Formats: sequence, C-alpha cells, structure tokens
Amino acid sequence: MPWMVIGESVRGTGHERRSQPCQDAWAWKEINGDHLCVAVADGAGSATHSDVGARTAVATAVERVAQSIIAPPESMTNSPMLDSPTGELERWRSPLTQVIEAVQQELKLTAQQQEISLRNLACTLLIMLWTPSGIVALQVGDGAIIGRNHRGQMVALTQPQQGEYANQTLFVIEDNAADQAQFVYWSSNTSNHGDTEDDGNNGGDRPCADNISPLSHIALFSDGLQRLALELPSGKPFDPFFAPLFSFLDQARDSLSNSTDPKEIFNNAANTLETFLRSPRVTARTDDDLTLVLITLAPNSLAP
Amino acid sequence: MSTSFNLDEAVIFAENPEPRCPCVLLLDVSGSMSGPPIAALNEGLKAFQEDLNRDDLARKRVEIAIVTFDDRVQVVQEFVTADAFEAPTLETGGMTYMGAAIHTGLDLVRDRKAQYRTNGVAYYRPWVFMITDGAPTDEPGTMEKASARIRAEEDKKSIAFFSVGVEGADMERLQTVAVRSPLKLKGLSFQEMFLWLSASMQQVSQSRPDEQVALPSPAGWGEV
Repeated sequence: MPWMVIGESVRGTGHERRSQPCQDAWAWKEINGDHLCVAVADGAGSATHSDVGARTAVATAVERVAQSIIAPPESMTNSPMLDSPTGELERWRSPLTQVIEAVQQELKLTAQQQEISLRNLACTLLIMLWTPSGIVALQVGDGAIIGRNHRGQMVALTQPQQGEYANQTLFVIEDNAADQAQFVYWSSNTSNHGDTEDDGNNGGDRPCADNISPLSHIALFSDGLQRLALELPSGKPFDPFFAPLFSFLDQARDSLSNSTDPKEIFNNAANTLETFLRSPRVTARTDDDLTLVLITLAPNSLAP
Repeated sequence: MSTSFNLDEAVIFAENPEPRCPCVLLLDVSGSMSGPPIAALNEGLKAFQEDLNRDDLARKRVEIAIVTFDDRVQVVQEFVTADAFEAPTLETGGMTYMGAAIHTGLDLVRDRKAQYRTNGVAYYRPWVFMITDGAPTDEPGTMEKASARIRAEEDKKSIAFFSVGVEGADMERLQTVAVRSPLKLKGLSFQEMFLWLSASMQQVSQSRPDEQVALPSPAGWGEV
C-alpha cells in the first residue's frame, strides 16, 4: 500500500479510575489504491455511550468518504475541475458535508436502536483524506490534524475548537456541526506552493495554497495529547514532540522494503506507539483517553 | 525495524500553562462568628489548603481568592494557585456587608477571566462559595443588586454560586440570594465542608469536554 499508517487509541488512566471505557476510536481505509481516509473521534466524558458513538462515527465517516470517491456525487462530477486549491476545497465541501450528515444520521439510528438519547453518543470527529492532488482535513471539536512538509516544517491543518471553558467543545451530533467544522485543503502540487515562510498556524476554513511545499507526514490526535503536542493557545505543532514520532514512522516504513513479514513490522510499530502512550511520562501529564495516528507515504506511493 | 525505538525517551512535550479552575471564597467574619465558629473556619481553611495540595493536578490548576466581610469588605487573598496558597487566620468584626462582598467577589472573577484570556490560559467555570451565619446588613438596594447579578451570571453560565449557612444564619433570606439552594452547615463541620470543596475542585479541574461533573455528596457536613 502506498501509505504507512500507525495508530492507537488507549484508555486514559482517569477513565480506568472511574471504570469508564476508552471513549476514543479511530479507523482508516484505503480507497481505489490512490486515496487514504483516516478518522478519529473522541467521545464526550459525560455521555454514557460515547464509546459507541465514537466507533460508529469513525466507521461511518471512512465508509461514506470511500463511497464519495468510488461513486462521486453529481455535485462533484459536475463541478469544473479547477486546477487550484480553492477549486479543490470547494469540490470537496459538499461531499464532506454529506459525510457529516451521514454520521449524524447513523448516530440517530444507533440512539433509536439502543433506546438512548442522541446526546449520549456525543463525540468529536476528525477526518483526513489524502488524495492524489492534495490533503483534505475536516474537524468538528477538539484535538488536531497536523502535517510536516518535505522540508521538515510543521503545519497545523486544524486547531482544537473549544468553548469558553476548558471542558467545553463542539460535537458532531450538533445541528450546526457541518457549519462549525474546520475545513482545509493542502495541495500536493509543488507549483501551488510558494516559498513563503509559514508560522505553522493554519486553522481555518480555506485552502492552504501559498504555503510551504507538499506534506509528507500527517498526524491526527484526540484532545488528550493536545497540551503535550501543541503550543497553546496558538495551536502550533510542537516540533520536538512530532519529529521523533515521524522518525520512528519512517524507520518502520524503511524496514518494510527488506522485510518478508510486513505484518510483524506493523504490529511491532503499533506496540511501540501503544507503549509510549501508556508510559508514566505521558500519563503523569494527561489522564484522558489518547489517540494518535501517524501517516506517511510508503515506497510504492502513487503520489508524485 | 527494531522495537528498540524508545519513543518515551525521544519525544519531548510542549510546556503549556495548566488550565485554571478559579474559586472565590466569600467569608462572613461578622461579630457573631467570633469564638468557636471563626476558629473552626480557620481550621477548615488549613484543611482546604492541605487537601488541595495532595492532588498533583489540582494544586497547579485550582486558584483561590478570599473575600471577607463584616462592616468592611476585604480581599484577604488575591487569586493564587493552590500550591502557593497559605490559609490566612481570620478575625471577626462587626456587621454583615454581604451584598458588597458579593460584588467584590464577582469583580475578582471578571478580572481574573480577562487575565486568563489575555495570557491564553484555558479555564473552567469559576465557583463562588459564600459562607455566612447571619443576614445581610448592607445599605438598602445593595443586596438586591448583588442577587440580580448572581442570577444574570448564573444564566450566562459565567459562574456557579454556592451558599452555606452556619448556625444562626437566616436560611430563608439566603434562599433568595442565589439560584442554587443554600446548604445548612451541620454544627461547625467546616473541616468536612472544606474537604468536600477540595474534592469538588479536584473533580472540576480535571474534567474533560462536556463532562457533567459528578460532585461528591455534601451529606457529611451540610443539609438542604
């Protein structure tokens, strides 16, 4: 496969103390061999079934994104193929809005089937779609999606969305989730990238065009890691946090080419990541559930 | 690859200010509190300081300010994190200027929030916790304005205002002051009350998005 994806969701020590399940979930899917979709969701602490909500949200999100690529809706095929980041952002807006609506529908259905209120399935939702022409990021709530370009510079594709208080955020079950979502496109076309320096702070609803070269690495994470991984309140990715993680990912990817057992490499890498997320150094700083997904291009990449 | 890649050693964490959980104590030090009540209140404050500092996160996140009121309103403690808080020894005086004290407490919260925002510090919903053994003796109108302000700020979820009546307090009058029903302190169980407040602050200061914090039961020290 053209991407190396390593990810883990682990139950927070605070959840262990309170006998709560892990309310984070993540899922990924490779589509047509040239698209990759990764989704992360963090269930609300107060919601009784938010672990179910989070799992349902990520599974539905990657499935619906896959459908919109395999059988593109009319709005996509009809829209002119503008060879610009703005055009790409607009081309994806309608299908991804439909993905959020589909997730909401699925959560409503789950609530009905389990005879619980929709509020008890509340969760955030982060979606990353890597296409041959660029990367689309969509986020409802906290956590963040960050990237690193070929020159090693870090950029924030999205930012944690918080309310006035530290324990408030936006959830995908809200009627206005699609309107409030952060929606970003990052072109993989080198000619679309200027040489301007960037402050690494790109949250917002816009194409990231006049920026620093295509991305080679992406990380998605839930809010439990936010205070360790970002410089707040700017939301700038903290380089010494991500650089070793991406080196670790690169090392795993490179060892794939001379291995006869890729599965073992994936398992080992996932175990190493899990050990890290459960390490005392991490749990001394955060007792929340933690999800971290690391993505990079693999040797047989179809990307330019 | 080898499993020897030690992420635990390699990854460095960002240093961000801890989110803050502000708590203002409005304490009645009118003449009727003198003797055993004020002694018990002072002991309670010490227990509050010690208990908060047993929790590694709470000591860095909970911020305490203290306003006392008799015939004057005094800010005896500006906002300070629990790890730097030293419980004061309070003395008693005359009347009960409760309304003026409420205004001072709410002003402290408003100004602190502005400081948090200026410095990019995340924060939780502030608590204002009032303890009295009497009834307000403010100038006419002051108490009504204070009550209206509490209601408006509770409506906006700007604060959470709690009141506790010590033996002798006019509980019916207290009922009209705030939105939440006042609790009556059992005897002089200030120690138990402050341990409850500390436990509640620990819960709030570690709550995550949308978590409805399940507060401990006040049954050990208070009754409705």
